Amino acid sequence: MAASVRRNPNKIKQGSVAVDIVLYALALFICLITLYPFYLVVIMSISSPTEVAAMNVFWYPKGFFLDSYKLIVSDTKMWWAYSNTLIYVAAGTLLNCLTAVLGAYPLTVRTLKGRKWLVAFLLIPMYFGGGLIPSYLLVNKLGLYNTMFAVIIPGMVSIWNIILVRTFFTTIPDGLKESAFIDGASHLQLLFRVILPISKPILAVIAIYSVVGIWNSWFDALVYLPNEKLHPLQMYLYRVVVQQSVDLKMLSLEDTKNAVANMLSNIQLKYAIIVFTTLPVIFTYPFFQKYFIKGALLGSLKE
Amino acid sequence: MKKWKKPFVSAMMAMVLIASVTACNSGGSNGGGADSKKEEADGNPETGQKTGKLRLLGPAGSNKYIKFEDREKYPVWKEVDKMLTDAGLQLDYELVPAEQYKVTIQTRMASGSSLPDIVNISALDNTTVLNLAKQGVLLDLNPLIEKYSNGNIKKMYNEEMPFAKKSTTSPDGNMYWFSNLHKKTYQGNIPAPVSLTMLLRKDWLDKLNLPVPKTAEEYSQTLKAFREKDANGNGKQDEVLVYDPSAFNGAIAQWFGLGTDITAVDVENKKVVSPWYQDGIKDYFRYLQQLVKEGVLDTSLIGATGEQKQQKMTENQVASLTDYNLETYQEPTINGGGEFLPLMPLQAVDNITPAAQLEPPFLVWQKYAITKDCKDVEAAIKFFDTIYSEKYADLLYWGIEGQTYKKDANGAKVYINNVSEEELAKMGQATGRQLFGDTVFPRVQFANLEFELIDKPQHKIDNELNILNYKPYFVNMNDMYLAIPDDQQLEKKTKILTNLTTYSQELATKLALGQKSLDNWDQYISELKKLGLDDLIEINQQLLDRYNSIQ
Repeated sequence: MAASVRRNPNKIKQGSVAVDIVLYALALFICLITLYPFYLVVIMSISSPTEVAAMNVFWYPKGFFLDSYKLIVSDTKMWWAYSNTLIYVAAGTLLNCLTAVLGAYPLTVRTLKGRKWLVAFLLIPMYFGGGLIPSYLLVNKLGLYNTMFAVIIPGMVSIWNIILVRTFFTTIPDGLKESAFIDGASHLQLLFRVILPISKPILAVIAIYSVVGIWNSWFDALVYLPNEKLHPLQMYLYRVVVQQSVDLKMLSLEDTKNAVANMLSNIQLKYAIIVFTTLPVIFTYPFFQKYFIKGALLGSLKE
Repeated sequence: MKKWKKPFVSAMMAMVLIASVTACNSGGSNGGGADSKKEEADGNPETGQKTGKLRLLGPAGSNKYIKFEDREKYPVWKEVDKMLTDAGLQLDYELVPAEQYKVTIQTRMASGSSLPDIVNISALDNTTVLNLAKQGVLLDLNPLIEKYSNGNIKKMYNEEMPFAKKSTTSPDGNMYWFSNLHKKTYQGNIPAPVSLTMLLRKDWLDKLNLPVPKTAEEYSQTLKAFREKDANGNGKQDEVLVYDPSAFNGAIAQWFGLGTDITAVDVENKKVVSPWYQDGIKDYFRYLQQLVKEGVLDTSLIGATGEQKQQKMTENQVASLTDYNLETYQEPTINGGGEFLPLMPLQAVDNITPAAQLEPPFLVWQKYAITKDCKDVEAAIKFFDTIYSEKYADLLYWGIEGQTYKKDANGAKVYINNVSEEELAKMGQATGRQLFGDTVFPRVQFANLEFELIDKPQHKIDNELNILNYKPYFVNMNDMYLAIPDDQQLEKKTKILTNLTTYSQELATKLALGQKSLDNWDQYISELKKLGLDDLIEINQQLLDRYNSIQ
């Protein structure tokens, strides 16, 4: 033993098999506890409803039951919700990128007067909001209530995104900008022909933040969209989950019968809908993962 | 040029998307929803009546199969539609998904702008509703009824359902909303309450050859025997009683003569009581402690969700629970099947007659109001005149004779189609209640016990007929017998209840679990008094007195 240590004193520090095994086991363990909830939802969604209601499903599906998926796929409301979500995500993401770029560029121009004050001013709404009723009144008075714009327009400017882009823009060497001006470029030309082409990473970050954020959002729809034809997918899911948690004590005998029947059929349906609504985002995650890390790095610097 | 292409293209795409959103939107926002009914004519040519246009806002029904948007295929809707057209009404419905309705109505009423003519405000709490009435957002209905009604509303409220006025008259003497009205009778005119009682597994009693328990003591012995003799046959002692000791609305409390809530209404004696002051309270907790000690009462289910309790039920472990005596929805969810037997109130203490817990035979619930933005109040009253008619009540609760109901030998109405709602939807044979009840259409129900008994097993029928005239009793819905509180009473009640409810629940749970000793009783009572128990009893007594005084 002593001889081998002497021969290679750094062995344990650099790539010992034992450490590797421990590390891999640890990584595997973390991986498993992260993935298990996803796996559980998937097997619940294809197990038989009675087994799910009895909470008997843990490791593998019990009974094979695809009727929930059949029910979802044949529900026109679900497809409405799906297409609405696609519209909200596409429009919201494009507008978010556009406003972030247009909002960030002026804040990087050194000759802009009161630039520091402007940045400070922008920071205020990051910490304070107007509250639900004032926001509702605003949306209502603007005539956006019960229209698709009610969820797109209020969410199209994100101060956080503007700050992110601004931080990125300040890392671009001044020499590049100055040489563009010397060549006779205007601010707009500088922004779109010089700066934007080298800013793709930050645009990707904003895009993926927006996509995920809008895909998962439902509260705006709950407040502003009473018309179910305009509901996004998450609102559809929300309704199924809420519908199931009725307080049975508040109902009379006749109403209780229906509520119980509803609750039972929804217990399993819930899982199928979760799978259905989450899959698209889960599949896009791996492709954008590297940008997430970049985004977190950029976000750590706000000046 | 090439470098400009990409931003240009993305800008164009954004434009196209926004344009497409606009296009979708112009189709969707019209009238606020999918359920707008438009008529070209401005009047009814047959009667020469002027058409009254009304906008109505309410929650959509949550029935998965029988949907309001498919209403045209149901004969019952055609009848109701004809009634409305004959009354010269043209209605524009805005139905919001039920799960979303509370948020929608809260924000809409709080902002007070662009209100509908008639609105379902059941989702708002009493304080909010009374404030809205005070601000003039909701109209006082009495003068409108005097001026415009054809007499239907008064007939229903004063003669058919005289209890309705008591529950809907505000302290200022005004009436701000119409309600669902429900009356259940037996053999024509006997009021027919149903009971909430302890259910016990009948098939397990039969299997183990055990007699039906006649006293509380025998009941606990039976539950013990279920465990010891492994009634569900899975080899484990896991047969449990599902019971929540934090409130007093599990039927065991009534065996000890206790009320059903922190304050409860003794309807017969016109008195408000609190279980904390009643004689049987200490014995009740001793009894629960014994059940807990023997492992019969499943303490893991205290405060559990419906889903968790359902899990026990499905796993065939529930030996006993509180539910309606006439329920038939639990049995099909038990893996392997089973049968519940409703128990009559069991004698627990020598000098206390056990009470029953009843669901009152007369119910008033939900609120439908006319708002200040209503331009044609005459039409709004006409709408409610149509609703509070016997014909509408029949269509709503029973549907159409020969299609959804028939009359039995004694002339009592019974439903014909005993099939699932999915089948009913396919057949187009729904009743009005299933199709449009609780949306913007109030439910007016003349129910009877006869149809409830028709497909029930004999032991459930016997229990119900025995309970019909059973006394003493408490009710599961105490608020049904309390008049609407005024501002001060409401404020005081809300303030007291916040802390008192929490303390009472914690105390009751800990006493039942034996975590607190019954020796310190005086200390608990003085704490309850400090939190306002006496004041609460006093306020509720005033409300009960006012309820009884309203004619």
